[in-house]
Amino acid sequence: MVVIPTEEPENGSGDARLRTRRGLIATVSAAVGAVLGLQFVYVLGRYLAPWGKYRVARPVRLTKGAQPDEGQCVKVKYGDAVVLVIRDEGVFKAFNGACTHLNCLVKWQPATKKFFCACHDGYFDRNGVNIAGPPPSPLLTVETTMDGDDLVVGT
Amino acid sequence: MADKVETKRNGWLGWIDRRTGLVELTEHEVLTKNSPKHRAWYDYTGCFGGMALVFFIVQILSGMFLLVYYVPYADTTFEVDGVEQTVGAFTSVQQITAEEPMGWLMRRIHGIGSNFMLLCVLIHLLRVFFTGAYKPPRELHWVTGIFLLFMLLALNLSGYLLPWSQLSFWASAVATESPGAIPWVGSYVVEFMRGGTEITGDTLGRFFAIHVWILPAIMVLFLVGHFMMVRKTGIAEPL
Repeated sequence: MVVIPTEEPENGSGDARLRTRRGLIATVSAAVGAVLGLQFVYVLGRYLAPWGKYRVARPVRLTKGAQPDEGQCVKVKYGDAVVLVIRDEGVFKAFNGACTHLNCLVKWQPATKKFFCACHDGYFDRNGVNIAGPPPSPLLTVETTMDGDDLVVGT
Repeated sequence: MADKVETKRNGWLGWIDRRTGLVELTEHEVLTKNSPKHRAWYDYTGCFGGMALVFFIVQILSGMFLLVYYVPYADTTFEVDGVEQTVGAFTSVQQITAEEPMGWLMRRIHGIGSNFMLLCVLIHLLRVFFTGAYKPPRELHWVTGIFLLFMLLALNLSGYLLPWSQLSFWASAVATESPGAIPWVGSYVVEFMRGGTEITGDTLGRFFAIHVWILPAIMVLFLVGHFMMVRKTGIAEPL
C-alpha cells in the first residue's frame, strides 16, 4: 500500500518531491514542457541549418567562344567551387581555385604562368603544384574532357 | 561581507544566488505571486496581461529568426554571369515561406502571434477598465498601458509592410494616407511616415527600423515600468 503524505516535506527533492500532489504536478508539467520545448529546438535547428542547400556539382560545358585563349584563364562555377580553367600549350587544365593553405581564391598570372594566392603569398605552377609560400599541397585538379568542340569541366 | 549575502538555495543555484541574488529575486518576484480569490467568471480574464507578455516574447524570438533570412530593401533584378537574379524583401519572404525548412512555421507564428497578442492586450484593457483596476494608485499603470497599446498598433502596421507584397504595399498606402486629413500638418505627417511623397524602398527602410529595433526597445522600457508598478502597488482585487 502506498502512503501519500498529507503534508509537503520541506525542501522536497527527488522521490519526496514526487510523493506530494503539488510536486508531482510540477514535475510532470516540467517534463511535458521539456518535450514540447525540445520539438522547438528541432524546428529552429532545421530552420537555421544549411543542410540540403549545397549546390550539386554538375559538369559545365564551355563552347569554343567561352574557352580560355592560350595562356589565359577562365573562371567556372562548378557546384559550390570556383574552378579555374587554363589553356597551357594547347592543353586545357582545370583546378579548384581554393588555395590549399586557407581556401583563398588563387589568381592565374599569365605573365609568369603561375597561380598566385594573395592572402599569404603562395604560388602554384601551371600544373597546380605548390612551389612557394605556405600552401601544403597542390591545387585540386578537376577532370576535363572534350566533347566535339565543347570543353566539359567536371564529371 | 560574504556573511551578509543569504540564500536558502544550495548547490549551483546557491552559488549563483550568493553572487547575483537573481535566483531568490526570480523566485519571489516572478515565480510566486498572490492571485485573487475566485469570485466571478471574469476573474479568469486576469491572465490576459501575462499572456500578452508571453506573446511579446514569442514575437521577439520568432522575429529574430525571421531576420536571419529577411533583407529590408525593395526588390531589384540584376544580371550575374548572364543569369538574372532578384534580391529584396519580397524575394526573401518568398524564400522563407517556400524554401527554408520550417520557415513557413516561423512566419506564421510571427504573423498570427501578432494578432493574438493584440487580442490579449485588448481583453486585458477591457478587464482593467470594467473591474476599475485603473483607479488610484494605479493611474500610471493605465497610462503606460495605453502607450504600450499604441506602440503595439504601430508595430502591427509597420510589420505589415515588410513582406513588400501588393497587399502590404496598398495597405500601407491607405494607412499612411489617412493622416493627410489632419488640418495644416497632414501632408507633412504623410511625408514623414513615407520618407517621401510615395511609398518607396525608403518607406520600407524606416518601417523596418521602427519594427525591429526602435519600437521593441522602447516597449521593453515601458513593459519594465508597467510590471514594476504592478509589483509596487499589488494587483487590484476584482471589484
